[in-house]
Amino acid sequence: MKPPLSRPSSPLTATDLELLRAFEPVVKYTKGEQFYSMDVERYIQVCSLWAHYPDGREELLIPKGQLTLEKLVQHRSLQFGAVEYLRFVMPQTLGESVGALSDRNKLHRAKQNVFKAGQGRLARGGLLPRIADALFSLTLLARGRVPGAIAAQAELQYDEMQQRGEKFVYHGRVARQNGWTILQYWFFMAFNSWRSGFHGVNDHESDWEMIMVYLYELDGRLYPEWVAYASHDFHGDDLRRRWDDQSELDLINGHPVVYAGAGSHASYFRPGEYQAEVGLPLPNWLAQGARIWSHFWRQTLGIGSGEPENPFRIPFVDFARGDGLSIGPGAMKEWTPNVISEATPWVSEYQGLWGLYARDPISGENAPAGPMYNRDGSPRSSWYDPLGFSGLDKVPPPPQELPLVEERIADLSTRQEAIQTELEPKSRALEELGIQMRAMQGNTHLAIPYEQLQRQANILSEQVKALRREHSENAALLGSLERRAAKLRANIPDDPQAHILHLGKPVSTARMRFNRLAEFWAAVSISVLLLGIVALAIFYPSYLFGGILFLIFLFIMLESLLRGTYVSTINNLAVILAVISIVGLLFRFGREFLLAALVVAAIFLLLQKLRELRE
Amino acid sequence: MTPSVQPDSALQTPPPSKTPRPPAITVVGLMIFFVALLNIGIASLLVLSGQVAFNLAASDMIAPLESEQLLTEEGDLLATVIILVIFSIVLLIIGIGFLRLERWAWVAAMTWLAFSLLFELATLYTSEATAISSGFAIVLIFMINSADVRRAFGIVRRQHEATPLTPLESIDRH
Repeated sequence: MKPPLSRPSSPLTATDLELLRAFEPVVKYTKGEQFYSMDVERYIQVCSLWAHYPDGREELLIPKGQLTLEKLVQHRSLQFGAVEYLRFVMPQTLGESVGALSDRNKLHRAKQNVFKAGQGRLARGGLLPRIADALFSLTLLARGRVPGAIAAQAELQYDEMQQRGEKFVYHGRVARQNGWTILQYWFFMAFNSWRSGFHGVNDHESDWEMIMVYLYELDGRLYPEWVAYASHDFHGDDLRRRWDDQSELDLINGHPVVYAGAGSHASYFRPGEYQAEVGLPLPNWLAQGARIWSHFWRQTLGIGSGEPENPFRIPFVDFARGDGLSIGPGAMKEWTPNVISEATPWVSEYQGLWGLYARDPISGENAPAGPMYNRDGSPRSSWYDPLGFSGLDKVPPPPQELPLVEERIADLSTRQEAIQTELEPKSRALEELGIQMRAMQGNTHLAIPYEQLQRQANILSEQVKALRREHSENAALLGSLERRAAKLRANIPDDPQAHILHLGKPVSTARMRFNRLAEFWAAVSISVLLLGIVALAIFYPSYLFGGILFLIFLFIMLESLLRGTYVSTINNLAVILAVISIVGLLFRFGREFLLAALVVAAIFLLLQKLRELRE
Repeated sequence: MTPSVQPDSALQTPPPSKTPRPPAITVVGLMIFFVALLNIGIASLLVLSGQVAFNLAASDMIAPLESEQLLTEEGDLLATVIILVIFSIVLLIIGIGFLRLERWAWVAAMTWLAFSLLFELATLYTSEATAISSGFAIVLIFMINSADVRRAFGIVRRQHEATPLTPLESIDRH
């Protein structure tokens, strides 16, 4: 294999820091982003350490100003179920909260770093997903959540830290597995402001994001082959892109480009606006009902196409435009690297949360744990299995592939020869048995030995059949391996996206093209619908059921007109109404339907029997 | 003399073959006509029975202010006749469009059927007559929704742009 001259490389003898620096990414943020990757040391200095106990008690373990990384990793004996967590922002009074919100707005104006969602954000989800979205938003009242003033205060505190000494830090780790050298870049942000700042799903104190660069060794140098960005929407193979996949991976002077989601800091390969659809967890009976309905809708009625959709989903937009600050080699700001490993005490010895424990049962608003752990203290797979995390555990480094393929070809060829050797005497023996049995046929006195021979022949026949099947399968496999080996020898590159099952793409402009009226309608529709129902209940209580039905119908129609989906919507609505009407008719006129069905059955049977008589 | 070039018969485009109209379309089209004619019949009966007075004086049509009704009984009947006639005309147009395989007619027919079912659902089948018309609408909806009818009108279903579904637990980007 020849060294890929178009790719950057590092000597095998390079230190971990040199390796990390050689391939460090350029992170492009969205305009309006408030928190950038920082070092944990400065963060810890302004935090306090707390414990939450299962009985609901909160205990201040180390107050703000006294916490250091050394104190953070000191062993503390806590009962089972207790959660250790940091607080970046201390609880605020009402006056402090109002002050923080006001100061934050002033800061945005002063920095001219204001986020604009742009047209079409609200109209991207249909009416039903928006109702689900409204319900989801209402659950924040009941769930634990990070208050908006905390987000504002966090931004002010972070800005103050940066004013004292601007620094953009990543925490880099180098791991070596199965011949791969894996560079992990961990980005730590003081706050995730996706919900409060960018209309997203959640806010939480502290945020950890990670990307990986996979290097292979050739002739004493390390070359990049794959890049993986951790994502919650994709898993395994879908997470990684090949270094030379220009359509999917942007490179700046040999450094991969990451487009960070605004507020969420999620990492994307391409700039744009990503629509994530969150499936709501349903009770089993409801999920089963939804499956039956989906089957009835698609199979029985033949409506809809493609993959079955979950109707209980909420669309969210993650803005990764890359039009804001960029950090990395040659960008607006440079990185300060910080090398970490299992030997770094705060990485391996602090299993608690890196920010506020908001007591959110679905965890969305709780702070994350560190790079090595999940929130529940279990080890993070991206740390202990960086290859399996992006599906690379089944992929050898490129220089090792051809020898492995050739080895497999040699093994298979040997096995083919062994099969042939085994097959020949067996098939001859089977033929001999066949000849004997043919000769014995018609001789009644040979019935018993004939049966014995037949049993032997059956066993032998099965063995021969199995060997021939294996030989045939091996031949097919051998052929494909030989073709693969020839391709590798000729240095013909594979399709860089062959491994990807789901390709994460920004929302297409066609789907974003909603006019101002649709946007306005999307913003007000749910509230207008609710007010309409209230008005019906007050002024026309006797028409409440029919009125609500009619109102919802009208809203859906109007929505579809604005979204340009009238034809499919009216079609779906008509079929749904027809199905509901059938059920309603059966309830209202069940007896008549039963009698009619009996009459039809009687006529059918009568006709059948009369036809039989005629025949 | 330049010889005239005779077109190669093999290269000639054959006249477009007329695709036969699915029988369901004819049945639905005729049913729409039937409903339109039924409405005209009802309107005619109301007029012929002398119940509708064509006295166009507004004072006879609009109920006095102290009344809870908007229209007088005569006004109500006249309005019913006018609505029935307009509705019949619209249905006749839809029927013609349907038989001529116009896409807008399919959409209009589906809209009409959806609205009629909605009204009947809202009244929860207060009489046998609404139940019969509901049954009629249900049959028509399934007929015009069949694959061959849709194909004839060029109604195609849009493929959903696949977005992988994220489990709720992993919405917290961290």
